[in-house]
Amino acid sequence: MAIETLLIVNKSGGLIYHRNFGEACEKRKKLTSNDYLIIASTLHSILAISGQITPRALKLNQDDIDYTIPYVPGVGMPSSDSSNNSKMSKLGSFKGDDYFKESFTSWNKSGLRQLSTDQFTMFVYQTLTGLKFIAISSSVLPKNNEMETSKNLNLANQIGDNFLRKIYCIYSDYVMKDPLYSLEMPIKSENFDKKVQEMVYNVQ
Amino acid sequence: MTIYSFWIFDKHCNCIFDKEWTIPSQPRSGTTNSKQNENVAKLLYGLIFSLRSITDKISSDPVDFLSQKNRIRSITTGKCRVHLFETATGFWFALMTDFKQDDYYDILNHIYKNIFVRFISLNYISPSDFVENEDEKGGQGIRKINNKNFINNLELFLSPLIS
Amino acid sequence: MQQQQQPSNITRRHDPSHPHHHHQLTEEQQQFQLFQESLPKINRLVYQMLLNEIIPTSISVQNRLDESDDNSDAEQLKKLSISEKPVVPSHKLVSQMHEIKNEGRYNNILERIRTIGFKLGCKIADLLVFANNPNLNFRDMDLLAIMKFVCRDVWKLVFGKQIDNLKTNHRGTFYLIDYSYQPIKNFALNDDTNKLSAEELEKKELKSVEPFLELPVGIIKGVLEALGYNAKETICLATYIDLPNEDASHYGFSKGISFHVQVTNTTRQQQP
Repeated sequence: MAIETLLIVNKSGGLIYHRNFGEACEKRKKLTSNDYLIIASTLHSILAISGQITPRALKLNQDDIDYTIPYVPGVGMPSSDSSNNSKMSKLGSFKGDDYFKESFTSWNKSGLRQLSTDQFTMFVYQTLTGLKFIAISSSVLPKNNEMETSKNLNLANQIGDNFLRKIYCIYSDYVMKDPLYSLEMPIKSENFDKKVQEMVYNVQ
Repeated sequence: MTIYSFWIFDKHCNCIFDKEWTIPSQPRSGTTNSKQNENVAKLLYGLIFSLRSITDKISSDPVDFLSQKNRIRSITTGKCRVHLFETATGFWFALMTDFKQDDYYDILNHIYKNIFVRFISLNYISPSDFVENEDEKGGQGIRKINNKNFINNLELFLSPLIS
Repeated sequence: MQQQQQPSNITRRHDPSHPHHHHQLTEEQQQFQLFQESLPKINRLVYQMLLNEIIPTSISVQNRLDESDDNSDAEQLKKLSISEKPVVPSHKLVSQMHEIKNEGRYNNILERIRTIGFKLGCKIADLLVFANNPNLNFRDMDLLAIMKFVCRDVWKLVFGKQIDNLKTNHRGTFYLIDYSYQPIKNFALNDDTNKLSAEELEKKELKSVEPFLELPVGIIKGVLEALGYNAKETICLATYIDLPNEDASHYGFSKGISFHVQVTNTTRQQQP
């Protein structure tokens, strides 16, 4: 799964981080930063609108939908190498070899979560504080209806969610703890960039 | 595996057909072309339309003349999943299911080929363009598909999939 | 072109006739089979649409003729213009038929459609005789055999399937019953206003489809004329009958068609 673009949108719909990865983006149309701003705010409003679309069957039934996302090990972590055990603090303030190890509930109960097209898949992860992480990946979800690919499909979704949650962990580590960073402003932290780059590289 | 509803939009931004199944275990329950769904139809249309414009902006140009444009296949929200099928004549077929469901592209393709084309496009006593004058374009249209052949065949086809 | 627009399972080749595959075919029959298979074929979907389009075209032609009859020359000159006339979609034309109060106009339209069918029927008879089907022997055919010929070969050629049932009283009256008449198999009326009750809707639907039945009526008369039974002495009418299978009426057109043919002069007129 190759991540091509990462966007972070703040509470009011403004774009605070945007980064393209990989050479695949050379093929894409050259979009100016203005275009990305527009895309970000459109997605922000779509997220709100899509929350209103509830099928009536769900309204009547009130079944509890299972919102937990299981933990998928090894997303974005470098391949384990026993000789590198000495480098303990690779993950900033997170002790241990991964950011989190248990399954988590999705806070995104009714907004947009995923958009799949012919050429790419877009994952959206919304946090409790209103922050939105959007990842555009060039993997395409398979079309068949067999059981195996169904598991693959759900697996792809879960990988996307896990990945974005880890980006959220990096964000809380490097951006939130930065005293010079003002809230809701564009992110300009080198450490954050470096860590994100590493994680994206590991996912590919 | 539950299918919640089925919508058809035409190129004049009107919803020409909607069918909702309210009780999952009974395929014959539910409403067809109800007035309450008009607002939901407009919301859904707007959602699909804006996501399409974003997709167009982001996706790369087709490599050569024959390769296909980037089309949306499915949209997943927190509560459900919307599968989309676009035809070249401007019709959008949208199927709303629960979000564990895979791509239903083949189902929508079959509905278009064998049910829509047979009973609406090739039907000489039924209109194929549901807009009669300029006032009904742009989302203001009121005509819906009310064809008993179409509805019955659609139910017949989808009832094994609903439960 | 995007591939998913082609409904590929509908566009099949239209095969004129398929004789039964007996185990030992005579040489003549084999030759005939080869001849049939070598004939050029056409696209079934296009053919069906063309056949159905005859009806709205006739309505439109008759409307234009009636218009020009109604007005005087001076008024017609005023109406001349270079801009295009607005196109009325086919389904509107057909539903207009339903509202014509003037009996004469209505019958004119039916007559026009019937004449087209009649000419088709004459030519089809010639075609099928020319094809030299070794299974058919036109010289010895009596009326019953000719009707069977209509049921089997003519219907197969024009509509792709045979007549479902043939009833006769052996004295010149025949009923040809088709439970799923091909061109109208999938027709159903779209009730825009949603105010019509089920019976009214059905009545309106059956009335709207009536013009479509004039075509096969014409074809039957044309074939009979070509084979020696003068058109003035044969009567042919189409009526609706109920389908034997109740369920099927919900998933397709709700009625079957029965063609009542009555030949008063049962001796064939041989052309001198």
